[in-house]
Amino acid sequence: MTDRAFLKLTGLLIGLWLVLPTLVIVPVSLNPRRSLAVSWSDWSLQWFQRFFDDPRWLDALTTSVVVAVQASVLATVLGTMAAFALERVTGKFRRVLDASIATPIVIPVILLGIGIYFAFLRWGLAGTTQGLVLAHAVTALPLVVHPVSAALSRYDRSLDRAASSLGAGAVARFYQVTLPMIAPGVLAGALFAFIWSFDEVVMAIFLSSPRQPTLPVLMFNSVTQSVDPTVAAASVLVLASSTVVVLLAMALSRKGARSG
Amino acid sequence: MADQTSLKSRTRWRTATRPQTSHGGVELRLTGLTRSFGSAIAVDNVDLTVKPGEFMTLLGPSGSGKTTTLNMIAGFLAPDSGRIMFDGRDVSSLPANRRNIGMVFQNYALFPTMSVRDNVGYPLRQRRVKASQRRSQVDAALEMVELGHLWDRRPAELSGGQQQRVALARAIVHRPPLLLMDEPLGALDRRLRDSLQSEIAAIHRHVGSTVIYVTHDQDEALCLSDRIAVFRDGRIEQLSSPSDMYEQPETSFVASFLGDSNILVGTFTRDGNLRLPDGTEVRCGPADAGRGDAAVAGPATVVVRPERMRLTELEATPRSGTNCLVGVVIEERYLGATRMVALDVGGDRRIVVRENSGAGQTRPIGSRLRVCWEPADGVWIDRGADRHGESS
Amino acid sequence: MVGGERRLSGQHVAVAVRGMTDVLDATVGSGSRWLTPLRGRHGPTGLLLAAPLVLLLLVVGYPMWVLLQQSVSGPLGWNIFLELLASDVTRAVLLRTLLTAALVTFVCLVLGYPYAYLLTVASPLLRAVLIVLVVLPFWTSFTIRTLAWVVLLQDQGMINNTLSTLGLPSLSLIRNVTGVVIGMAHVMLPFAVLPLYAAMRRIDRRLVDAAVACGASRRAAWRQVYLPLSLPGIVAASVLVFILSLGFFITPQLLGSPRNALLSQLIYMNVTQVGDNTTASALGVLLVAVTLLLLVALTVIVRILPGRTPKGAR
Repeated sequence: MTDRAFLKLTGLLIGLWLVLPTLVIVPVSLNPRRSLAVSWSDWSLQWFQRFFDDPRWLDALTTSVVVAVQASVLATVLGTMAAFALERVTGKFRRVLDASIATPIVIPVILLGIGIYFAFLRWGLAGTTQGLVLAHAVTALPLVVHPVSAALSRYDRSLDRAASSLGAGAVARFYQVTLPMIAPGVLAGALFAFIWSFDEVVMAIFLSSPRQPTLPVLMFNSVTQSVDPTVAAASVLVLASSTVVVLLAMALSRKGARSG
Repeated sequence: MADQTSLKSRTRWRTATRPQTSHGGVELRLTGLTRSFGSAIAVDNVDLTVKPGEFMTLLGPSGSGKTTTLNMIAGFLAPDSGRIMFDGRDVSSLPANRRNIGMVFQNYALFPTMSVRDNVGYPLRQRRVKASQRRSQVDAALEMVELGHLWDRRPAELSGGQQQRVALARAIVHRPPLLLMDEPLGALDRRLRDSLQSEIAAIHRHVGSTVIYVTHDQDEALCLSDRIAVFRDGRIEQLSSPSDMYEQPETSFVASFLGDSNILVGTFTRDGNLRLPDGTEVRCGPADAGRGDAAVAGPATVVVRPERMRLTELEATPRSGTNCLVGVVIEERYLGATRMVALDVGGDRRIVVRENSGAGQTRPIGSRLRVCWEPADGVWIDRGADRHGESS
Repeated sequence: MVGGERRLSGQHVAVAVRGMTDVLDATVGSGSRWLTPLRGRHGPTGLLLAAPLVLLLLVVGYPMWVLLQQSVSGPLGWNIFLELLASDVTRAVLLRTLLTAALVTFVCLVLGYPYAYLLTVASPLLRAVLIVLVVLPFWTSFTIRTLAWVVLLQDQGMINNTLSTLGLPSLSLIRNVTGVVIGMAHVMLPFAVLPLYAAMRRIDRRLVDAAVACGASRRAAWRQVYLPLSLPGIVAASVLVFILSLGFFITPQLLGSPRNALLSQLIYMNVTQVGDNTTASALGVLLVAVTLLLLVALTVIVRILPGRTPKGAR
């Protein structure tokens, strides 16, 4: 019994260790002085104001959102296609396909960064938004394939047969029957892909245009090159919005799991 | 389900004379054993004494408390109150590994990472038995379950029946004075069950351990046990030998749980008969069985087993002294060796009769027949008062 | 089927992919394996797969080829690898990278194992809380989490300020290996916990009871029965954390120093500051080669280890 209590205590401490240190960013963003430190005596919102006044930060935010939306849409379309196709493949070939789609997440991201950079240099895609979107979308594929596959594996195929017996063609079946059922999984995948692209920094360092950095790149540069607490304010904004999106995506995919 | 199971002959595998073995078993005594989970009482004040070497079956539906009782005997669960004694020694606070038991689990619980030989040798390894000696004991145990040739396999490479045999060997390899079995045959098909039942009986004979056997299968209980404890709602409803349990059920719950039964509900009359709602009086059992306060008239119940009833044509005159009812056949089920015939005897009452199907003619639905049985084949339960709960 | 899932695949990448899948599983919900049962259907399977696969080939496969091609395109040709390995700097960086990754893996296992175990025995409510605690950081920007550690660990940071308030000597926690390991372990812990949890969830807890019934103490039962069964999870978690750590860039860049550079930082410096794309590519190829070599070695070790999962179990 005491063993169990000790285990619980250890677990909770580790859990808190996972979450709490990140939150130190919040007091730093409210710090009135120009340093990455915590001030307990007084606070100010000036760094948030700075974030919204400075076109550099706002432009970076816009770039990030634009890239993430495009990458997410592309990844969702491609990933859903792949998930549908994968469902019909079995055996060894299936395992090979699963592994190939998942490779982007186990290749060290620095290699993806420089490798794609060199490849894009040859194609003239380096430093373009399209190039970054493409890189983010392809590396986000597994994040979409997984929840969509999960939703599909719970989807009762006899509904398809029922729909076709009632006269629905393949396209109508997909839009009217299948898609609404797996929508939570697709949406969850889209949100994961969005977050992935929105947070990704290493590939973006190499691939985004120097004049149009994404928000994470600007944050990275800001930390390495200067002591500007605006980065803390930016972090708080990103942290809050991405937490909401992740919780939403988790809830969605679990809802899909339950209804499917 | 009951009909299906009754197909099987109820062979008792024990031989009449059991050889006394040198190892012997422990005397197990449970007193006032109680355990609840949250607000639900799983085991409620159970007293039970198991004689050394006895094969005791805890029988009951799921949720009746039999497995909880077993887990407390094993030491996996601490009782809320009450004591567990092995040969008069209180082991209630001893952890499971210090109780020197053998245990067979429902889903075998073989260690997937170890070979068959390592699995069976595991209890010996814990007891620091020397490797050479361990080897010969393991081989002997594997021979006993006829798996000597599979010693180097992994559990996943064995069939269900073979896995169960390995689990059995692992439970007895160290000759435990107490062998606990938790629905050991539950996951096997019927044919395998039959052969493993005889194997379990043979091993019990050979090892001589005291056995506590948990099952919900009445056939297993009847053919293996020296005594059966029927559990219901955390209490022991009846404790007796298999034949007594079947021939003399004390409650309608026991009667219907073990085998098929016709339960006749009526009132007890002053001259010792049962008056059915339609006025028919039936004579039953030895009226002087000394069961409680029999002299008072009141609601009463009689149980008659279907195979003790006979069907005759209406024109045949029944032997005097037998009980007879007239009914209409409403269902006939052919079961191979036997046939079950259900009759409506009026007043929404159903009587089921089992007869040998070799008897020739069929019993067409709608035909009127007479159903008769000897008074001695009727067993009084709940006479004059509700006896439920009194038995434990 | 369960046994088959536990089995280590010979393909080294598959172990890491499996681990990653477990991570996604925890986010998305249980039971969503990619390897869904057979569905005998026909349709435009090839067509649907073509676009994603071609893009994967172009955006992931081709770049890896470019790295190899570019690394041997210099005047040294294939000798560049020998040259690199002969260089003290590269060797030191390589060794430091391997050691850091090993240290991070170790820390993650030590913290992740009890956490994952707790997940399997906790009440549903506690489990839900613990899962969220581990999944949320997984989806939180690495940059932000590392930034938080900069704030905490720096010389005038929260930890050192607290220490000096208490009258204790200050610690050097940043711009060295300590800081890098702390930050990386923090970022990597979810990648260890979730594969461990996935493996432990499949262990039948009655097996430990069975061992105890055989006379083993709780501790011995755990060591002899539970630990070997959780080994596949340990391997998956270690492989995943180790691979990701080898190539990790943001955290060492912000918490470490150029003097203590890891391989990824060396690659970055070669591209952005030196402009030596050949060396950068060659270092990248070296990183992949070392990773694969270690994975093969690990696979071999696990295969000959006693107490491995059953061969051919399905």
